[in-house]
Formats: sequence, structure tokens, C-alpha cells
Amino acid sequence: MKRIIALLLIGCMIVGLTACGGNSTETDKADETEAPVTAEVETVKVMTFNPSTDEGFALLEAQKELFEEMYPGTTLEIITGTMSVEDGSLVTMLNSGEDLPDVIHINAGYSRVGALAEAGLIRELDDLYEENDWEDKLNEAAVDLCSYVDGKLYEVPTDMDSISCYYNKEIFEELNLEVPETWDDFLNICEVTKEAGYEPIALGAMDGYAVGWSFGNILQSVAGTEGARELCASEVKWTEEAGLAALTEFDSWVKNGYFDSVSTTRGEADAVYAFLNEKTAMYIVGAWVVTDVYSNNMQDKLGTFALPSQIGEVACATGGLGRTYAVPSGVEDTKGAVMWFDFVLSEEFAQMMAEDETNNCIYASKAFFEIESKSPLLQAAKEAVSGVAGRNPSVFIGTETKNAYFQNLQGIVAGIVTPEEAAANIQEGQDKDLAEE
Amino acid sequence: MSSLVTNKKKFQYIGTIVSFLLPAFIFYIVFMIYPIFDTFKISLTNWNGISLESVFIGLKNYQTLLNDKYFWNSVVNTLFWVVMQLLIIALPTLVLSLMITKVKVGMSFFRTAFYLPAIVSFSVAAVVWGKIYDPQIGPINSVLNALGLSFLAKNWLGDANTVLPALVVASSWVQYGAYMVMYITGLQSIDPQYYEAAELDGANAFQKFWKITVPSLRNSINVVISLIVVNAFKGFSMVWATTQGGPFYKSDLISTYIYREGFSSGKIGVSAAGGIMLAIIIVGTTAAFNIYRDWSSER
Repeated sequence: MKRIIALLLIGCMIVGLTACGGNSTETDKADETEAPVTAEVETVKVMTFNPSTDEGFALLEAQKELFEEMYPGTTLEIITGTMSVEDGSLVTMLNSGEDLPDVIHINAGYSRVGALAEAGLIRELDDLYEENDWEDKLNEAAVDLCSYVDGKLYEVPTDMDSISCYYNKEIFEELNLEVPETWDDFLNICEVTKEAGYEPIALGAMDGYAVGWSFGNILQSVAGTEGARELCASEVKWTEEAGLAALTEFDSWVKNGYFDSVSTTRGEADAVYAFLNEKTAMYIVGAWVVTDVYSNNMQDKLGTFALPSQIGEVACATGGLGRTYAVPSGVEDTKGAVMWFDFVLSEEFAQMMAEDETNNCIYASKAFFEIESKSPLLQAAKEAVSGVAGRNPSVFIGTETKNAYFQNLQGIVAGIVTPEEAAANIQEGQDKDLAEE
Repeated sequence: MSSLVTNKKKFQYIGTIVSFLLPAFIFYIVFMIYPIFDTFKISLTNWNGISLESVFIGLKNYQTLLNDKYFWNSVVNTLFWVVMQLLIIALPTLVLSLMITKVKVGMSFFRTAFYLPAIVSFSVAAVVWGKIYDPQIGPINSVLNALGLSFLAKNWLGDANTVLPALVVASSWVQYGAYMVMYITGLQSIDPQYYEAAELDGANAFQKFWKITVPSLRNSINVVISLIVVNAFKGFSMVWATTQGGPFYKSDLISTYIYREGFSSGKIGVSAAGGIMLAIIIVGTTAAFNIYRDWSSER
């Protein structure tokens, strides 16, 4: 009896499996009959960052809608993930070669793009650039900031960082302050706001990268665009003029109380909170803060300016590339990737992004720069990097240099190291990176 | 024939044992033993965690570690961390357990209340303690300021001198409950007649504690101390979730150093070497403690 029941159950299982297989076949046949595929590419798969807000998800939906409108018959499949090179998940997927997306979206920088390129996990794109004239469609500063591996290009930049000084207009009005045109004007603003009881500049020093934003802008002011580039490219030492001068200036901000004394226990989120709750007059941060600004309805109360240059250059924001696209080397047919890149560099895409007030990305396409963004804050941030952009060192320096850089900047804020010691320590990191190259 | 039957039964007996042990043994080999050997193998290479290939470089990673002043800084910080945790947890938890067992009304409540932190993850505790230690809005400094003791109010997680002790306290808070339960279990197994006899002999509270309670709890104390030491050496979550080893490496432990080398610097080989060295330190320390314990019990 037990054997009969067991046989019956096995039979049911087999029938069930056969039925499932039959259904998918029938569905495929039905699809072929009802909607013949006319597009060259049926599905384009893009793997991108997991949005942290409802607005972010809505934006992905809008992009999908626009893409499918522009490419009828092609379905855009958006897969989200952490997209972190460091945590191993992306690398594991690329190494597996299984079910690879046409395009991956990652944080920019040589430590990611270069690392993936050197490991043979992403494809060189020079041939596609030439076939599709992408260089002509990209902002020149963005192309300049790309990571080149042995002279070859492995990425299509998505967006650029634009890190400048955001300020509270109401506090400035209250204290009769204006946007500074000279370095002394800026220092005067810091002194006046401090005396009035405000924190002059918000700083989330617990997060090393957040301290780097402020330092990067000081470096840009002290050394200029070329000086900062040379330092980031390890062409000069941190113990020499530009690096040491910038570290000394940074130290003077700490000693003069321009940063809150407790900023070593405050992260980026705390600093944003302090700025948006009008406890601080200024905050040196990237354009990504625009989303938080709009969420807190502060868009009419804030403005932005680039720190004045101390060497007579035109003030400009610092940054680098924010995020970038790459093509996994296991992808044999690049048509889907080409369609996606043409889409993100198109005028239609730029128009949609420019009209979204809560959008905080400065897209790297020339089309985006030619359109006025609906958000005045984002427009100002865009203009600050439209011609020349300074460099945020965190994005360009080597990994040992970066570790030392973050720790020593925090050390200066905590009063543990002097600028000279910090310069020597960061230089040690740079020497290790150069020795490994 | 009888030997055949005996052999068959013996085979069945062994087969039964093996079939029960085999799954766990395979699991143990695959997920515990093999990774240790793989880690050692990786520590002899320059693998960056991204490429499929790596180059054998011998003991160079170990040399790199031994020549790195920041590694030695992390070793010193870790030793400080271990000693502080021993001081804060080992004896005070025993005293706390004793007090709880003496409470006549509300023992269950106090036992539960003191155990609750043990069910909180280190990451959650890190966020909570980060706010407790906040120099501006945290309750510690708020109370100190209200009592006119502002000179004691510090930037607990931002000051080079206070960051590590502050993190040790926060980490110890999470672990109190687990060790308290171990002690309570041991205390409940002590025969109350010993205490009655001691009282009759005129022993005071301290004498009863030192001459009866502590010797009776020898095994529990040994286990607790071993666990404190092992867990302290592995301390990571509390530090990484709050300070990430900063400011300026002042709260950097071996575990956070290893993590940073591996996942921020992309030096999986060096990171693996650090892991092996940490394992050697933990095993060596635990073995030394066990030898001392066995030697002192034989005396």
C-alpha cells in the first residue's frame, strides 16, 4: 500500500514538472504569435545602485519608461544591488560570468575601474567610443577625469561630483554677509558667524571621506587646479609646498574654531542635519545634498559658492566622477550596452533629468550641461564644474595614501597630529602606493 | 559464523555512529577547517580580492605586517582592549550575579533586565552608545554639566585618551548578560550547606565569597575568562560601527586593521596574514591560560 502511494506521489510530481515545462513553451509560442519581436535587442539589462528613497525608485521607473519609448520592442531590465567593488559581491558576479548584465553601474575612481580593468573583468571601450562618437557627447571635464588603464578607456561616466560651499542665506542676511569674492572675505565670514554663535562650517569628521571634501576645497584654493592635480597624481610630495600649505590651512580652521570641536564624533548624516536645521552657516559638500535640501524644504534658504582661490585662479568646485558605467568583459554582444550609453547621453534623457527638481546628479553628458536644471542649486553646482573642475583627492589618490589621508585629517581635527606630521604620514602612504606600482 | 555476526554488528555500530557524526563533521571541515587552510594559503600570495590570479610571495605579507607601525599600534590597542574587558567584566559580573541571587523580590526582573543587552547586536549597541557618548546631547555629558562637573564632560569618542576606554565600556555592556547567566548557573549549583557551615564558624561575607564562592566557581570563572579573552581579541563591530579605528588610529584594533587592509586597500593577502597572526595570538593566549589553570589546580 505504501509503495502504491509513493508511486502515485512520484507520478504526480512528474506530471507537474511536465506541465510546467509545457506551459512555458506554450507561452513562448503564444508570444511569438501575438507580439513578434522587431527590435534588434530584445532586452537590455542594466545593473545599478539600490535607491535609498522612494524618489530614487520612481526615477528608475521613469528612466525605464523613457528608454522603452525611445526603443520600441526593447525591454529595459533594471537590476539593483550594492554595486560595491570592495565588498566582493560585484566581483564574484563578474567572475562567475553567469547571467551578466549588459552594463554595470559603479562608483568611479581608479581603485574601482582600474582594479576591474586590470583583473580583466570589464571591457575596454575605445572601439565603441570611436564608433558612436561618445567623446563628443560628453562634457570635456568628465572625459578628463576618467580613469585610463594603460591609456585605454574602460568606462562611460555617468555623473560628476561638484563639491562646493553651501550656505544658509538667512544667516548671511542676518549678519550682513555676502558671497565671498576673496579668501579674506571667506575667513571674515567664518569669524563673524562664529562670534554670532553659529557653527561656521559643518563637518562630519567621523567619516573620513567627509573631511576630505573640506580639505579638497582648501587644497584647490591654495594650490589651484594644476597644483591639486599634481598632488593627486603623486607628481609632488605631500611634504612639499601645496600639500603642506593646504594641511596647515586646514589645521588653522580647526584651531580657529571654524569647525565644531565635536565634529570628530559626528558623521556625514549628523553634519547634514546640523546644516539643514540651521545650526551651521556653511557646509562643504557635493551636489548630492540637493535631495536632502528639497526633502527638508530648504531650497529657497540655501545658496552655493566655490571657495575663492588664494592664487588668483577662477574659483571652481572640486570633484571627480561620481559614478560610471562599464561593460562586463563576459558580454559578447555589446548592442545592448551601446543602446544604454546612447540613451544616457541623449537629449531626451538630459531633459528628463533636468526637469526633476529633486535630482541631485550632474550628468556627464554635454546635453545635460546645455539644459537649465529646474533646481537653482543644482544649476549652480553644474556651472561650477562646466569648464574646469578641481579634484577631490579621495577619488584620485592611491589606497595606502587614502587610508593615511583620512586618518591624518581626522587626527588634525582631533588635535592629535600636526600638519607636518600629517604630511609626513600621508607621504609614507604615497610612497607605499608608488612602490607597489 | 559468530565472528561474522560480531563483525557485522560492529560494522553496523560504527556505521551508525559515523552516519550521525558525518554531516556535522563534513560541515565542520568545509566551513571551519578548510577556510583556515585557505586563509593561510592566501596569506602567502599578493591576491587583491578581484583578480582570479595571484602570485606566491612567501612570507612577505607577514614581513609587511611586522614592519608596519600601524599594525603594532593595533596590537597594543588590542592588548589594552583585552585587559580592560577582563577588568570590567570578569569580577564585576560575578559580583552582579551574586547580588541578583541574593535579591528576594524581583530576582526574575533583575535577571531579565541585566540580560537584555545580550540580545542586542553590536551594531545597534554602537548606534545607541554613540548617542550616549555624544558630547553635546548625550546623557553622560548632560548629567555631568547639570551637576556642575563640566570639567569631566569629554568628547568621549573624539578624544584620543577616552575613545578606547569608552568603546570598551560599550562593548562590555553588551556582553554582561551572557556571562552573568553563566555565573548564576554556577552559583545555583553550590551547596548552601557550605555557607551555613561557614556562618557557624563566624565567616564574614567577604570570607564566604573568597573561600567558598570563588573556589566553587572555578570552572565557571575559567570558562568566562577564556570567552572574554577570545571575544575581546575578536572585537570589531563596536569599533567599526562608531569610529572605524579613528581618530588617527587611536581605537584601531587588529580586527579593524585587518578589515581595512583587506576591504579598503584591496590587500587580501596582507589581511589574511593578519588573520593568521591574530589566530596565533588567540590560540597562544588561551593555551597559556589553560596551562596556568591546570598548573595552579595541581598545586
